[in-house]
Amino acid sequence: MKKTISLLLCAVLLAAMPLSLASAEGVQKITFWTTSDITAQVDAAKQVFATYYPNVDVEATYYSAADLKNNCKIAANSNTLPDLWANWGGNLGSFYTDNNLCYDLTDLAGKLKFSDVYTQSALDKCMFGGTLKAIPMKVSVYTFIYYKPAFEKAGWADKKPATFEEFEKLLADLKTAGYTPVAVAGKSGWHVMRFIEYLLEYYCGSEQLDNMLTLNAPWNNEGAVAAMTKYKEFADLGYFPEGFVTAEPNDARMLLYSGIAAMTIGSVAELNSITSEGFNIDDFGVLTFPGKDGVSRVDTGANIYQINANCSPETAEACAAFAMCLDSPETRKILSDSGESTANIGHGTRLDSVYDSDQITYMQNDLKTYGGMTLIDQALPSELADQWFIVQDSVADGSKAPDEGLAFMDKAIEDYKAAQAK
Amino acid sequence: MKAAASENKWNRLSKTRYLYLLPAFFIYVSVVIYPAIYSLYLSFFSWNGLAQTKTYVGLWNYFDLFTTDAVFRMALRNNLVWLLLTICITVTLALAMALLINMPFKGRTVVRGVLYFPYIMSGVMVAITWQWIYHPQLGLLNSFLGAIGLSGLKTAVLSKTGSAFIAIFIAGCWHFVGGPIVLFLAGLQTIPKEMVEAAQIDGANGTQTLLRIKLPLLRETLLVVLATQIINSMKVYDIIYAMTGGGPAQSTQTLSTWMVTQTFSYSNIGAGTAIAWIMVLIMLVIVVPYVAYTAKN
Repeated sequence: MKKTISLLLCAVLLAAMPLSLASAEGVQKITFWTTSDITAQVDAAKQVFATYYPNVDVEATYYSAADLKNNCKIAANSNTLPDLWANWGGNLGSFYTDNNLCYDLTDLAGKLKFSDVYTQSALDKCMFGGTLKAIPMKVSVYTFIYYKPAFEKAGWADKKPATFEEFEKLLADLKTAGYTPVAVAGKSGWHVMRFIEYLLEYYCGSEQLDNMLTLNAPWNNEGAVAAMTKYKEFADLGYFPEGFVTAEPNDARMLLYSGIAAMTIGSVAELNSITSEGFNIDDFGVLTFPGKDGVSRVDTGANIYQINANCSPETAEACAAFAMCLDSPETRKILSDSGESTANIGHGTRLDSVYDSDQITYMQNDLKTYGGMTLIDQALPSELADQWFIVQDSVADGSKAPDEGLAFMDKAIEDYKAAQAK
Repeated sequence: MKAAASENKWNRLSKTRYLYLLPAFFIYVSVVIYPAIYSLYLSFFSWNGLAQTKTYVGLWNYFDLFTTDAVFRMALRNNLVWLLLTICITVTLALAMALLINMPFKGRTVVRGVLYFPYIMSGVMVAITWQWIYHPQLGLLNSFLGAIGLSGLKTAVLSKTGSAFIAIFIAGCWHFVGGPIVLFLAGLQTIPKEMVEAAQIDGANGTQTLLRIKLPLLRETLLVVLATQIINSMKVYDIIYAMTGGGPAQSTQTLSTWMVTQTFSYSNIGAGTAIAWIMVLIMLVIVVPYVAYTAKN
């Protein structure tokens, strides 16, 4: 009996082989890793891509932002990177280019006419070591997204703060009206960091902040101490959700959607989520952080696509073409026709960028008007960004005073520089 | 002649049996032995996992971890605290529960299933469940405290450096207590009923029976439980990663989570593998005496 079953199993396996071999022949496939908030966009892009490359299949795998960063690193170490992956700019993207893991796109840029599609500034952000090693995705602007009914209840209907003092009054009024003023969430550190960056820009000024981010100025300075003191004050006043230090960033969205919080910090990804979760986008507005004299640079982060250096020229071309399809007008039309959000489509990177919501237009206009400041976790190496997250948590928790936290950061920078010099 | 033929056949069989072991041996060497030795080798280098050349630094990675890496020292301390709490609380609780559910009562099988159920859940599921229990606004814990008039005790336990680790341990204890319960139950079944009855006839009360008869006879089971729980304490990872990610302020990092961070987030392969081998050395201190004792007996 056992012999019969074994023979049957072998027969089934042998029978399956010709089928799988036949299906593999002549079919080219590209593997693509990206974040899980753009599944509809990827599906639409696949339809567009199929009209140009009908024989190429796109296998997309989706991760959360934190998992995508980790899994790409793990894949890089085990030489199993996909053909194409979404990434962030700055130090996150340069890890792969510095280790020769990314395809040189110089020739493809000419063949696929990148300069007819992307702005020069977007292409400049994809230059690493003087070589084009990435394809622009978007330049995200991180600003305050607020729930209009909350503002109305707090007496701020159709009003926005023009100065930092007015911003503080807004927070106090929202708290009095029964809302958590700003929903930020500190697990992984980056969401809280967005808020603190605005405080650092306000109290330190642009030039000093840029010098701090390039490790050319100490972090323990008067402006930064004032910024962290204000952050601690806001935390103690309950302007952030209770337990925000270890809350998931997705929880911040939930608090906004459920009417517990009045604002959160986000980019077009959050606007996309508002629509995909079934909420009315017109109930939400965008608020610029008022800096000194009402002007503040906005938090910006570059998102890019990178192609595996081990790809064949044909595969690399297919990957580049698919990346271009992801943010193309055709993909936008498919999403729009099917009622899906187009909020994520190529902002600040394409010559044909269209902003079909007031909120996104507002964000991109802020970027053009006030300029952008680099995110701390894109400016600093991962080890130093994590040390900064310790400072954020410790100051909020009260286990470090603001100046102690900043001195801790300076020590971490000193140790990092010493380790690099060895 | 018959004897010689029989001996030859035996010799052939003796050599042949090693051939059948070869596939398993190759798999074991390639998946366990070789990576372990290679990781020890890498711990003596400074390397990002991708560069063509590695820089030899000797024992510097180990030295750096103990002298300059405050998070490593915090992680090591956390593992030792987890280990002590496991011995004092998890194992004691498991023994107490096993003694209780060893007694006959109606619904005993259901109770055993309920107590064992958390053990079969994945660490991530346990973490998500307890994150929601601890949620500051919507969680069961704070809601319960409010309902019984203790609103003043409401707090965000996972966000405070002083309470986050203990809160995670409580979730871990709920998760892991089921395994030792089963082992203790199995051990209790091996205690001869006649000895217990004889002690009771001689006038021993419940406590005396427990301390003088049952616990001494459970000694070997206790050793197995302690050894496995201590090893598990050193390896704890998924529940920490899912609940707090090592925060707030890296206060809940353990050696496993810090090893993964060093290796895959910072691409500091030397430090990551050095942490792995420090964990191995700590576990050898526990495992070697245990293996020696069980071999002797």
